[in-house]
Amino acid sequence: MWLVRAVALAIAAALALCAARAEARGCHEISDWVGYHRCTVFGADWSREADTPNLWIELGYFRHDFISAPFSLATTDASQSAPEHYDLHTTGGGIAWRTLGGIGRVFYTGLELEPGWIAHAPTVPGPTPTDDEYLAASLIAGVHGELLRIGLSAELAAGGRYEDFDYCPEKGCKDVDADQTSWMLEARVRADLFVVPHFSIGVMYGKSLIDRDDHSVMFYIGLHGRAVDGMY
Amino acid sequence: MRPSRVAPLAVLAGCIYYPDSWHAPNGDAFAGKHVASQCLDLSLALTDDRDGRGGPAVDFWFGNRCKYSVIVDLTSVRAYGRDTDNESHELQPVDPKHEIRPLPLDGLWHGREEIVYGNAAAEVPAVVCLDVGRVDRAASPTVHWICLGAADEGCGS
Repeated sequence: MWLVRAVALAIAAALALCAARAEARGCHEISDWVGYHRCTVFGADWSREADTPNLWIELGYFRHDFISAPFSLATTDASQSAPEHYDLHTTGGGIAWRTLGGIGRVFYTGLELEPGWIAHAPTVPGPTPTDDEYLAASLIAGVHGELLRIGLSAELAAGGRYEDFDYCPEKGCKDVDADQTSWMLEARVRADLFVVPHFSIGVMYGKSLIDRDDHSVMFYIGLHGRAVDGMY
Repeated sequence: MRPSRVAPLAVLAGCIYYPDSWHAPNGDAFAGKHVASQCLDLSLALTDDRDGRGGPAVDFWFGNRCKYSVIVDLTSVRAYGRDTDNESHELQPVDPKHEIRPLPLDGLWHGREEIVYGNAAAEVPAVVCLDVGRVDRAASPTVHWICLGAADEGCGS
């Protein structure tokens, strides 16, 4: 259901941008004196070679499936529990915020933040986690190109993630929590549909280069300073 | 098809420039006089905007009829003004930051620019004539004068 809503929101935003009035462009007053204007850069609205900042931001939803390290919220030592008591498959989800910049026509780099939650907690001996946090941050480097208004990208994301598991029954959290941090190195492919030159909707799939059970997906919208990110 | 599958297609179809439509995807009509070349639907109109330098402001709308990118060269436009004394003088685009240059326009996309044309006398001519025969770099260069003004008189090169 969340996916349908996300797609509907993206389409609504795209339609709104598509129907934006032309008055949004052009000049605006910078002085009370008649005739003093500041105007948009020539070609900014329509050409991918205009002299506008080649920066863009993306906002979306991510889902990250991975294997947590063994832990226990009980007083027993997790390392001594039998393996059959564990199902460490974990799913994180939340908001993805990416700020990226193009380097020439082909390369790009940027930063990604993913604050969120644990959508599917692992099964561990003792109390089941009832409260949790997820946070990941990555540096991005990639290459991209465009075909028929679809931007295709391949990128590497290197960073780390933090998870915190708490046991919080009805009367507050117990003083037993488990947090863990992990390095991440992920290879990704992305596809971005440019509905208009400065707005896109996209999807990303990533696979960890460290852990073969670790992969992620992301759905997002993008706002672009330069038309089609200046890609060719 | 279910609406959720149709909607993205509608978005795509709605956000392109349709050849010969003379309308931006948002429904705005290309104002003024129309000129069609090999790949460009170009329209020109005088606007009431001024930058304080006294020249006429020309509103250029252009849509790419082709499916491939085309260079839009607004630096190629030659402009003349004719005053009430029927005297012609050359007009130059006001471009203090030297921004105006040939730029590519994607296939089936559109653009709009407003350029003020000034002259040394800083007078607003009664009629402005512009040669737009080289704006579409995909087409063979020609001479195509368009005159704008209250009387829409003809201008020669």
